[in-house]
Amino acid sequence: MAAPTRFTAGLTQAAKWQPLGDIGIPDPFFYAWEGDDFLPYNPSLYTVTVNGAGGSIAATPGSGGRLLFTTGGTPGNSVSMQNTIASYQYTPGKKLGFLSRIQLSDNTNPYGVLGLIQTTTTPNTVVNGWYFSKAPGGTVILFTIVNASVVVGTVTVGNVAPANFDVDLGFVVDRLGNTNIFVGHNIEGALREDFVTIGPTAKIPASSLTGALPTTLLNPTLSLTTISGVQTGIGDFLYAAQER
Amino acid sequence: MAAPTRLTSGFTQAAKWQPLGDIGIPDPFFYAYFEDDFLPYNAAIYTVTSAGGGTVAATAAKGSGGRVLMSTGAAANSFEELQLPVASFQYTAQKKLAFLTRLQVDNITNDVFIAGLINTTATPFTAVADGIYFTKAAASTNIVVNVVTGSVVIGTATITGALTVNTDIDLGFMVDRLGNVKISYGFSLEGVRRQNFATLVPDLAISASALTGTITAALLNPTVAIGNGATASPITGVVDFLFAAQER
Repeated sequence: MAAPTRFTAGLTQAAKWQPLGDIGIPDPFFYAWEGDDFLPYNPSLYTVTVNGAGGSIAATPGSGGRLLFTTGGTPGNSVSMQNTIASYQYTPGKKLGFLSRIQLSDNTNPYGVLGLIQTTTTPNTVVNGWYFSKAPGGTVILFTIVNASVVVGTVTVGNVAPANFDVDLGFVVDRLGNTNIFVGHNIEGALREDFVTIGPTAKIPASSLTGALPTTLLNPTLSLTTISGVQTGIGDFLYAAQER
Repeated sequence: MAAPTRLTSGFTQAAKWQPLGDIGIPDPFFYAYFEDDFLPYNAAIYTVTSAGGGTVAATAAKGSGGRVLMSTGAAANSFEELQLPVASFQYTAQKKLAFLTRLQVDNITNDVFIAGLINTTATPFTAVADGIYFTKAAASTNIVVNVVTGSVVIGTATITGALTVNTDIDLGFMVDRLGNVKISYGFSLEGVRRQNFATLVPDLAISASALTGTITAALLNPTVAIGNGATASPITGVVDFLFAAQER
């Protein structure tokens, strides 16, 4: 691992003629984006929906800032988190991205949705968006694109990680409308521990879509639902971005 | 000073095959990190511990760029402490761990302070169980860097003559991949204008070979605490920024 590249006069994506062109820090508005490593967790940034007594989302001790998702114990109880307002939108010709690192304490029982979807208190019913999901009791991760409740693209992207094991789940819609999907352990960060899984690990090409991509406002979403008993999961970080 | 380097297609630390490899902004998860320039000060994201009736609040009186004023009570041993609600940084062998802050105090003799990564605690001046941190005792103007594991000091270094009343000092350390603790301190070490070229950092190191034990693997919390060591008058300190990072 080489030393970091140094730009001692500063560094920016902005062109000389742009307002921040002479400001030597990365242009914070080059993309519209958010990245939350939960360092610390600021619950006021989110809308947390708890369906069922005993559910919660809270900061939990763990290296690098982590959230503990806990469902109630009744089948169908769920917890989910979204931004307070849906602010991401796919624009043809512009990139759209999402990434999160999660783990499940039981890799079979619970199910949920993770990705960019509409603002909702029932995230298991997706109207618009790009998202990863897992069926109740299943062990397969499915990636789906939905436009106005119609699935326009889907692909199986792998099996659920072992219990209590981090998995990174992300996608980038490129400028051609292809959705590139990333799944793996520790594929984010300075140390690339998993060289076997070279991303992207799956793709939904624009040419295979059965309809248009959704262009409604979307919300970064993490959710967990139990089919029996209290279920827990961990969120390590959450990210979304769109080109301006 | 040259113009900023312009990478107008964007730039990233991510490899092509990584999830954010084609996103043209710096990868926010390349490291796990926390940074706060107090622009503005968001009290809700901190746990503030007050002993002796002091306050912690944003201030515009001690410089620009977003600052927090920590004012202790008048009694000896009063202190104010800023920590995050949950300790989330952890030293992992062969991975970097870092801390940086800029602070100043209005009394460099009677004040006490702690700045660094330590265990979550409401009594920072009583005992630090685990951590790497700068500390200053009452009746001394020296700053001591301690590496503590399980309440045992396994490494220490002393900084002399660096403190000036009501003057910013940057205090930082980085544990490198070999386990050496490299320590930086000085005036305006951070930022575009490096006003103090005489003091090239890192100024000190506690080399891995000098440690008398293993660096703690406990979860650590970015911490700044300023206290009233001996005087009957309140102590005030100002914190300009706070940063901690670890490699994933």
